[in-house]
Amino acid sequence: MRAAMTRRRALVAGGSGALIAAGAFARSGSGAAPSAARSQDALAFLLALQRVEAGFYASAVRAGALRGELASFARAAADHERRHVALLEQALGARAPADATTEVPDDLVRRPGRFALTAVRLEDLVVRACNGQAVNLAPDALATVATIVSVDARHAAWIRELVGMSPSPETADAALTARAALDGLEREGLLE
Amino acid sequence: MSETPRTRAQFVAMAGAFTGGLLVPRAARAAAAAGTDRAVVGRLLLLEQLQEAFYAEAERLSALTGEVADAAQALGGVERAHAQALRELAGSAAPRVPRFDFRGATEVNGAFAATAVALEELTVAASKAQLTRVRSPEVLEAVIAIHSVEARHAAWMRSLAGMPPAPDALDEPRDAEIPARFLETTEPRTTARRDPTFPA
Repeated sequence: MRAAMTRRRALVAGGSGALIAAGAFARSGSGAAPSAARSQDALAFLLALQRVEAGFYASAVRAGALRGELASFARAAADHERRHVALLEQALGARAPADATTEVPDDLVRRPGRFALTAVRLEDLVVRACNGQAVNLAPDALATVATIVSVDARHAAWIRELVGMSPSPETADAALTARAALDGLEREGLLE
Repeated sequence: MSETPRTRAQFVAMAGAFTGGLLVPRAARAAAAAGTDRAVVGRLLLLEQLQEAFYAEAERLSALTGEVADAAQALGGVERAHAQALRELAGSAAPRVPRFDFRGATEVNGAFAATAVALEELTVAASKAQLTRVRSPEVLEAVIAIHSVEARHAAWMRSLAGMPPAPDALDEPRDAEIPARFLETTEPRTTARRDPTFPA
């Protein structure tokens, strides 16, 4: 599994290789309209994040260890994230990077408490990462991502409420850089 | 005895309590004031003012109970911060505040939750429609950070209303104005602070 996860990190990062190369993990230059290439890189990076989410929830549903509303949440999120992935793949067309292996450590999806806390941190992270890439997206791509990010924000609120946390703890979902997002996924055990 | 901030950190913390900690970068204010983003910010500000007024009225009347009252208080603080941030972005171009009428929806838990869902969903969809019209990266960064928080609010209120928090895989944009039923009159007020609905 280690090899598969390492490959996944490479693919997530590789999906935005040009962003990395340009040192543009934070944002595009102020006032400059994002180029088509930069927009595609940002979209590819967000696709990789959505694939991580989709893999996480699909694994949880397959594992069958969740019960009650937590199980309902996992099923709904799995369905939504699968559709988010499909939408971004469609938007990127032939430029969509190859899918990564989506193995997830059993511990994350078989223990309800661990699953829920991972889901909270994952959803919060993806919302902020999407917001962070907004300035790198061309208008069409931004319109596509905007239909997704608010649903992920709903997921974040939903799972937060399920674990007894405030559904909306901040006044703003501050932008997260791609590098910080990758580091966060690694901390959660979703990347190595 | 009143409490006053004794250190810079305490002052910042206190200011955060008023603004919700949402600080608008100076560059964003300059971009909105100078550019074509002014109209976008103005539209978003109207929606935030609608919500600000709704939650402020609920807090002022103190008729809600339990979880619904707690949520109203929490969201009221956030919407005040959003409105303040957008007022800063709009500067002198800030639109005048309409007089709102919530027709008793701030006094009963059920009506409050249903109306909150409607207002939050309206704001999510209408904000989304505006995102692609923003030209300045700084303004975009500010408004998209608010947009996703509104979606969290929508999910929260839907849950309180007994509805699925995330009913669809995708949230579609919608160009929407403030529904006429929430407008008491078309006569504008000069400033928000002259309206007793808005705490100074």
